[in-house]
Amino acid sequence: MESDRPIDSNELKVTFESLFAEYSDVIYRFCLYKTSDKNVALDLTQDTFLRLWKSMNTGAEIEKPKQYIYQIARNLVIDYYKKSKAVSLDALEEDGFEAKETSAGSELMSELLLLRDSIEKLEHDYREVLYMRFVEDMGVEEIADTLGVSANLVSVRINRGKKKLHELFT
Amino acid sequence: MKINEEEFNKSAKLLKGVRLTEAEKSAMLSNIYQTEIAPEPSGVVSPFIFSSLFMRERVMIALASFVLILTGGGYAAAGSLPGDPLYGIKVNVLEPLALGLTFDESAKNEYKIELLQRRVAELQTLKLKADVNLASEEESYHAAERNITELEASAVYDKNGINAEIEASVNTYNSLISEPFHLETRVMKDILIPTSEEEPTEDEEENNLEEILQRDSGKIEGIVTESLEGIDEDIDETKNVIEKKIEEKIEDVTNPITESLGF
Repeated sequence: MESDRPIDSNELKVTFESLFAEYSDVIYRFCLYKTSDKNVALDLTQDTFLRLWKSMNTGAEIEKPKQYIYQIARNLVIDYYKKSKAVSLDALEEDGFEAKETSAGSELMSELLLLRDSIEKLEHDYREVLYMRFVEDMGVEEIADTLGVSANLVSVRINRGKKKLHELFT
Repeated sequence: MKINEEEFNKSAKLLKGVRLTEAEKSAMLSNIYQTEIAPEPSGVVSPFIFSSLFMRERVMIALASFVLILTGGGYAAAGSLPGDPLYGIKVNVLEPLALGLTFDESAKNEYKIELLQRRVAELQTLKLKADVNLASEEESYHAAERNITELEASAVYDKNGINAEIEASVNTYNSLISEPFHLETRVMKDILIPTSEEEPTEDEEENNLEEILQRDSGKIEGIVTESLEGIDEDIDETKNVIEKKIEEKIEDVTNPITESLGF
């Protein structure tokens, strides 16, 4: 919603930089996890905060910044896959392609692919919840707040997702 | 590719440690501040550009353009925003036609969710263009409301009446629009107590109980007060009966004594 209050650019910058300091690593990890490409992840992270900065400059009042920032990042990842006409990682591997390795290091990338491979095998509803739980160490309330769903639902998804994940383990 | 629990935890731990370097952060901030905040978004990807549209919509645009007296109106309508003269054609003609051409149920749902996300993106674009007003909000709301109604008829909701994807879009939509135009996911409201064929876990039962207690605390308090009042009445009645019985017993014992003493 637009605010009637005139925009104080210094105040805006301080707020933006505190949000950047708090969430830039989180969003970078999320983008890296989703794309497995360091350069793309860097671009998407920057675009996420650029959009946030632009929204803030239009006077938009962001009540739940974490939820808002995650939503922008999610949309950008979707846009990225649509634009690059990327197919799923599984399909790429089946076709004999290797995942792109970047300066982020091959060990990290192979571990990341292992992790993503396990989580992405689960139904859509469980993926982000488990990612936030295991990688970001987020609590039930925090996940619920970020995804804009009830804590009860998150708790159920974590329990069921964990069971399903265990079934996948060797 | 199979993984065991140890490997999974190791991977998660490794990813947890990933951070941007200070140089990367500084470069990002510098790039962001150097980007001009113009009314017309330049660096932001608009979902309304022709290349981002679905193939079926491109086909529909071509058809609609032909139908719209070969004026190119279909193309213009597809990129229109709430408040634009052609927006009505986009949401009332092009999108329903594209939906009608989708026959697979899951693809239909996917498309309906995309439409809802498009309503969100339209609002974001309007905001970036600082072009939000009552008329555009109202037009956006009517389109989004129809998307929600269509989704409610066919989308898959969980036992709590929630579809996270829809809910996330609704929440973002509501954060961008004035309160009178907030959307509601009615399916959630209609659900009272979750029903499931699966046996709930202890955690689920506890959470459900908490939810019921929070929601119905007033009702529960009323029932408890009523029951307590009933118990009070029962206690009084029992007390009277006991007192009467004691009196009778005392009389049973004292009467023969008084009689024998000749009183």
